[in-house]
Amino acid sequence: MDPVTTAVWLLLIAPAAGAVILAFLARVGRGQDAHPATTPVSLVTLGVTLAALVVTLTAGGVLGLPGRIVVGLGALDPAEPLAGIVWSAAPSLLALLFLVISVRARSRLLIGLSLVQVAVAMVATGVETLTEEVHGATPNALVLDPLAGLLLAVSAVVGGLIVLFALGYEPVHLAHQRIAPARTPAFLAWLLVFLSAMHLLVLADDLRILAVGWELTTLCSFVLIGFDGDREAVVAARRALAYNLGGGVALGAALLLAGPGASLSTVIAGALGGTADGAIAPALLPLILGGFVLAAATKSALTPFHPWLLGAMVAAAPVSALLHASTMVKAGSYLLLRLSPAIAVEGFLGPAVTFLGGFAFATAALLALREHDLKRVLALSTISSLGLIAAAAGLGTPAALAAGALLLAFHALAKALAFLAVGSLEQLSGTRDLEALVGAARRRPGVAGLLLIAAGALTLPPFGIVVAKWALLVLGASDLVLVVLLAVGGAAGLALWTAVAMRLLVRRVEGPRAELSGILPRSQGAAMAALGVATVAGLILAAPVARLVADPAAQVAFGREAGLASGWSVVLAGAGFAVPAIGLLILVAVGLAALVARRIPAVAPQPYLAGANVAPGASTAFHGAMGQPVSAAGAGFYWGADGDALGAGGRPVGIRRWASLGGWLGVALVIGAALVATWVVRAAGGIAP
Amino acid sequence: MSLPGLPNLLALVALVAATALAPLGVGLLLGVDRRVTAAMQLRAGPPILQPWYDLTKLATKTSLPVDRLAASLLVAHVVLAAGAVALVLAGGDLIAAVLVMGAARVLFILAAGAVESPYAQLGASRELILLLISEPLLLLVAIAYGGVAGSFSAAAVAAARAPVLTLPTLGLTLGVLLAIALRKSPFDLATSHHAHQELVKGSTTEMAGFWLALAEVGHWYETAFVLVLIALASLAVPLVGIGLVAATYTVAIVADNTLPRATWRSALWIGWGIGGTAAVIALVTGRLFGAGGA
Amino acid sequence: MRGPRELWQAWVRRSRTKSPWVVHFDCGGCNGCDIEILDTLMPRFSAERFGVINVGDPRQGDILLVTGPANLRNAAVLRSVYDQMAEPKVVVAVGSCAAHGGVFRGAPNILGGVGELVPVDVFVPGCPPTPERILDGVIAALPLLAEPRTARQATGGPSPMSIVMLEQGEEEVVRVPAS
Repeated sequence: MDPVTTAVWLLLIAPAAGAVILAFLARVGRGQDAHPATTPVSLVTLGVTLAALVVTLTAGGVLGLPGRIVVGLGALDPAEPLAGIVWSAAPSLLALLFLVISVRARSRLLIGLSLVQVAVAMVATGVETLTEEVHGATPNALVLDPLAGLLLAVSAVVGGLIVLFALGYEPVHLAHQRIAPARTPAFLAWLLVFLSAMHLLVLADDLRILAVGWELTTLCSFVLIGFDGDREAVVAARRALAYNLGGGVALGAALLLAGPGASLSTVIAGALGGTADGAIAPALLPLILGGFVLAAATKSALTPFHPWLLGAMVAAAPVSALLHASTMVKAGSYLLLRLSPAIAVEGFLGPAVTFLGGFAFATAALLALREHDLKRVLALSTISSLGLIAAAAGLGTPAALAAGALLLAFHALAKALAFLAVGSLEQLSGTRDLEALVGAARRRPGVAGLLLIAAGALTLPPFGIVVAKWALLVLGASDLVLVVLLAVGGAAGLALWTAVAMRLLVRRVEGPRAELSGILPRSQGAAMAALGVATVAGLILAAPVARLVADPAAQVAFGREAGLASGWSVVLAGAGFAVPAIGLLILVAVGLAALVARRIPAVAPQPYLAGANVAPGASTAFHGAMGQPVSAAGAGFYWGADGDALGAGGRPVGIRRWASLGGWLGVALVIGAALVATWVVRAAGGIAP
Repeated sequence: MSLPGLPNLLALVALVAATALAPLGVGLLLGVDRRVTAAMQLRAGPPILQPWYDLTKLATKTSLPVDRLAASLLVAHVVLAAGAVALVLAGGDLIAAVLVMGAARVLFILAAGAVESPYAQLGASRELILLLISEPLLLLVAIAYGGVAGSFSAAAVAAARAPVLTLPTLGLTLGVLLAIALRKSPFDLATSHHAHQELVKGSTTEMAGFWLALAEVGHWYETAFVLVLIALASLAVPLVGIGLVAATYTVAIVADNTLPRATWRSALWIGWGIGGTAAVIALVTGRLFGAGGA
Repeated sequence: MRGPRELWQAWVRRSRTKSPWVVHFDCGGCNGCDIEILDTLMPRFSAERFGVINVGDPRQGDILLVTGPANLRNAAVLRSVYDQMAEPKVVVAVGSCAAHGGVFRGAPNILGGVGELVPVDVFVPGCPPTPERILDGVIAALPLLAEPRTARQATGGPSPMSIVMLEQGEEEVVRVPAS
């Protein structure tokens, strides 16, 4: 086998193999503590995975080049008769597994959904195991191209760092949950399986393999969300399963319509009117794409489907980070980006997807303004960012695709960092309530500072995410609805992270505050430091990353003539000297601020309390009406929260209802667009309009 | 890029000078504003140079202890705010300028909210609401200009034919933005010079002397930013630009005087309702009738 | 011909006298004087002509307008508010109570005039003083703001450096002669 095939194989197998060993360790471990071999096994697995990633990306010829290579699966390739049957049966088998889980959960909704999924999967792929077509035009099993490479890198690097973090996090977490830390290897095993599933998903071209990867991520997220086993976790896990089973049904429907032997490339080729070998007839394409879009929307939790992701917040920090930053939800975004050229072709489908994404972008950010549970803030902010990626995919131009890909990569870094930092803060303090963590950045500048870096990366220029947003504003300027949604959502995101940063930076000397003086396990610190460096490096490296990955991804998707079309290049070309000027400004601002900070003595000034201060120092205690000391405490900005300090009270339900309504409108638009496009194709006699 | 020749150097010097002088000009304008406001309330009002006096006095007062972090954030705030104005003056990208100004205002909010005083924290929260109101409007204005001119660069917008059909609604949005930048309404922000204030001095409660002067300069840059955006509508004919600024400013003063009890919440609905609707209309008309239209 | 340094210093002196931001503190009188202070700030008397702004924060104030007698209950508060003001600053005691305790003088919780607690620069007598007189007192204090000031001690009653606004007569502003 050539090195690329070997490396790809390793990317798929290594995490899973590590997971098997860890599962074994979890079984044989004795006593309370995790098996001593847990750490070395995990580290070796991660090392092998990373090495495989490096070889894949360098030898695969996808860095900086619009390369696209087909990777065979050898004996496991669907082209092989026996393996083909296995791959065809796998989605049905997974669906049956979900049925078993649903029956054990005794949830009628879950049972119903998994029954539908079993039926769809059986018809879609099960039937073809019995037919001859499977031996006819067999699609490519795996395809490695720049977009897949980017997702592999995100999954392996960010996901790997999350696993590293979990090494130090999970034993403490389990002990806190009154579960034996000996279960740690089992937890790590599921994280690693997740990585394997994700790698399979992003490399898959054959729709059956895609479906297997897709359902495996659903399974892993179900197990991981419910890992702690308490009531809250189980409920959240079932909810996540329900939503994703719904998405799985949509995916299964797409598979069913695409028919045997279909692959992502044949779907796209069909939509683009290509007559390539195996291209799918255009008649059903809008419906197929609609199914894919809905499946992706549930997986990436776009607004009407977002409750499962909020529920998933009960899980441990590494799970949240993995689900939100590098794997689960990114699978949906990936599928949308992958299908972006095809979606754009199908009449109203592109604008519908853009609306669905843009709406999620705006409303999730607005909804997040009322939260002071940091993980909920992060969850809603994730949904917001995923909406932005979906909007990019809906625009369906090379530059928008590249901007979406950049957004995906930088968001993975920043959001993983944010989730891990919140996890560490929670483990140190026992809380993730922002009001209890007031002033954390003053007392624990390392951990909270990393959270601030992530917040800055999500909102401030010239971080990559903001430049990508900027690019979308420019690229989508002709779409009025999108522009308004982008403007509102961008401002809400800015306000959201400013509100969080403001509370973390407060100097609070007394009053209720969480204890933050514990010692952080080394693996947590190392993982977060690496992510922090990567996030900041993204500032400087954004343009090279765009050139290496995003531009080639757009070129592969839209053909070589797409040229240097990344959102980055569009912004750079349009903004002229503005980008270096921003860099210069930031340097001057940081330099001057540092100079000033050096000259100011580190005394805490006495706060103004109408002259009634109890002590001369920085205390916020004042003499009350009866002469007793009272501690003055401000509160953060929680727009629409119940009993917030601003007295807004408000009707948060109203915002939520609007968010839900708008989201369903988006879904209706997607379905409607698919139906209309199908009807148009039918009317035109089977030719794409 | 070619080597900077003498004309480029001169342009750079002019840019730096214009950016440095911008807040002084805004100070003068605020002085006139206070006189006009006083006249509307049948008072004499302070000298026109009053804002300059205030700034000089503040800057030369002896210093009080200051929070190190808040002070550094304030410095960075002024640098970025000045940079945003300079970006527009240099004919740079409008969206970039809006993003930089947004970052500058974030730094101010952090400087205000990062100190112990509950008054300052509450004030910072209300500043945050103003940010939430005005940031989308600023972006929409930038995009509307882009639609008119076919490019987002300030130079192209300034050179574009005056978008007559876009002007009224764009002016309305910019008027709302100006009213927000002036910080006189809503009254519960407490950063204004009006006597009717809540929350002691809101976001600036913990700032004194030199640091308050710095905050004031940043605030003037913010006002300058909106004024420059207004002037961009017709820089080709200078007098019209000045007239537009004067007209918008007058409307803002009148609105401020007629809405003395506007709260941050009403500001939200006025800002997004009126300013946002006007901005969307400006977007549509600008695209239909501007140079960028198909 | 004055150099730029002199010009700048002249400008600074001018700015300091033309931008008196007042902090109003009621030490516990009957509120009569406070009403008159508010009158002074209203359009009829229009204190803003002189650059006066009523600020709610002592850190930003230049002139401390105190009404009411010094008393045990909030002596520390007055002192704290005074201490939080940045130099150069002046104190204007408004009304009879602030001057010497007024009708409250002799009560067990009354210390006397606010001069017992903070160094008063200008006394504006009256029960209550008229807005014109309060404005006169503020204006009389302006020259004191022009130059840097050294720390001063509370002296109880008028000190050699104090300005006393007479209740009646042609000469309204009288400097107490050194004794």
